[in-house]
Amino acid sequence: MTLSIDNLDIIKGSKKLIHNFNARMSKGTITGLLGPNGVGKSSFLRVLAGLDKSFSGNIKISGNISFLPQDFNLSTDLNVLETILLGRARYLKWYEQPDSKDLQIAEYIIDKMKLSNLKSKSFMKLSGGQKQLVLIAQSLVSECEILLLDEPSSALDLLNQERLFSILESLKYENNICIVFSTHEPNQVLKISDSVILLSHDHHIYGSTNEVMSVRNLNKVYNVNFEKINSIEKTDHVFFNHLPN
Amino acid sequence: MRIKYIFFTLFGSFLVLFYISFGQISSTFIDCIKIIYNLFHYSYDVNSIVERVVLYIRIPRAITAIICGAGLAVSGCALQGIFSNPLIGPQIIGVYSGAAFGGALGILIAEDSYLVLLLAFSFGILSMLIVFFIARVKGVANRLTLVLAGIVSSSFFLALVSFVKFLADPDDKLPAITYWLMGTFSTSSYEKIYIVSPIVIFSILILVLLSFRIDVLNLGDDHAKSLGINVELNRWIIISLVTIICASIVSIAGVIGWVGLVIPHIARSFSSSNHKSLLITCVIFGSYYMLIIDLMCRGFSSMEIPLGVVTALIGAPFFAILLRKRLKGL
Repeated sequence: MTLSIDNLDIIKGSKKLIHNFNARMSKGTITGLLGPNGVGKSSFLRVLAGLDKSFSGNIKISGNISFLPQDFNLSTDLNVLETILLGRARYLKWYEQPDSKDLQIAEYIIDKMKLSNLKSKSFMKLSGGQKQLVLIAQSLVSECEILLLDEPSSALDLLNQERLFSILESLKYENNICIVFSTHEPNQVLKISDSVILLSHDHHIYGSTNEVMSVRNLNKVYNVNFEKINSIEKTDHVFFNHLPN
Repeated sequence: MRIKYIFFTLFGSFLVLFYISFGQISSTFIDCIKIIYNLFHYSYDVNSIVERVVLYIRIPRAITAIICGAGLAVSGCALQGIFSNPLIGPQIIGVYSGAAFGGALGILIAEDSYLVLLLAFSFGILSMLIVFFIARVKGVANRLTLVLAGIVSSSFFLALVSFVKFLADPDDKLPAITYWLMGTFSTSSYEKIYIVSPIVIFSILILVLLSFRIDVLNLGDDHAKSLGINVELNRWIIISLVTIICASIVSIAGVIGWVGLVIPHIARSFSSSNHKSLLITCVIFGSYYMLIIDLMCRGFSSMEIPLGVVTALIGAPFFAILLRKRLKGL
């Protein structure tokens, strides 16, 4: 098991965000994290990433973990290749610079993610979507086994969202990575996730996508009316639409 | 790229020659080259007064300027890197004020240049330790608390500097303290260089070796942590090296502000953005800048203008332009 969580409580000030949460996530799976604002999606990911200590319970992680925050307010002047190479930091001694082996790994990931044309561009001059992809490439270069993404699609247009999620899917299959991502869009979760964590202010639901993603659960968590629509072209393609209350 | 380095080397050599030949006792470039050549193989006769002035006043002064300029520029660049803030300079961690108090106290007690050196260095380090203890809460110090702790430590030592000035004899010690606080290379000597330069050069080298870590820390604390870096440890090592450099420099030359803020920005326009090349460019530009500034201090009038005055007169408008540019960019 890559990530196992037992009896997790997350407390922020006097507020208990998550209570008695248990989960098992393995390599080559994608878990979607859904829930309204303020329920603790970001806190949950930050706790998993080891950046937030305000929790109790057991979190067992096997492998390197990489976390992409929602607002990566980077002001680095580095170019794309240099930014991606920073992902090798954990493998380098304090006095070392990336060598040809590190460069080879970075080039491989850059090719795979089709970022070759951006290689020498300044990171700061990229669009939001391109920055997101470069930072995912950086995580991959760090050879992480667990990739945590906090609302990765929030700054992306529809085309870039499609691109991002197809890359995440390919990472799951080809790199055997355990991915956990948060979002506000149930259909994204439905499309690529194997399991789902639905968080609300007073409870949580965790299970396989088919089990958890029901109109009833979504209505309960979001307090809006959802309807389930079966795609006309593909009968197995279901998506949700929310209706005015 | 190669042309750039050839140009910088030629310009640097010209600058050093100009620096050591310029002054009230006139000497030519040729004289200076002969004097330097004589050090290795005595072959030329040169006027003995010129030789002494060049060898025992101007060359140590040039070496001091080079070390101070390089050290301050590298310190500023490293701090701007780890704080991800281009508007930060070495004064932010309080080391200047601590070292200034130490130096002022040294002059007040005995005016022995080695006591000044020792006290300035010790109090510079002490001010950093104070910042360390104020900023660390539950074993962690974030970037904002570090800057605030720096302001606290700085203000405290500046008050102590004022108190030392208040106690000093206005006819004798007070002018000496005031002049020293404004920065000067006029007290440079080989002895001081032997003591301070190995410390500064060694610290600069370690910072250059740590440059990849500075690149990672530049991404921000959380990001750097998620890339597997011990943010706290690396940041304190870098801050300690910067403190050692700055305390050493203040102990031999007094307080020279603005260099650590201005030079990294100029270096960024000439170098690639990774900190390895940035720090190396800062070494070159910082030393040239300090030589030029000291030439201006020596050349504007028969009386030597304090270094800190000129660096501030150039640095403050530069900083204002930078700030405006940054605000427009937001």
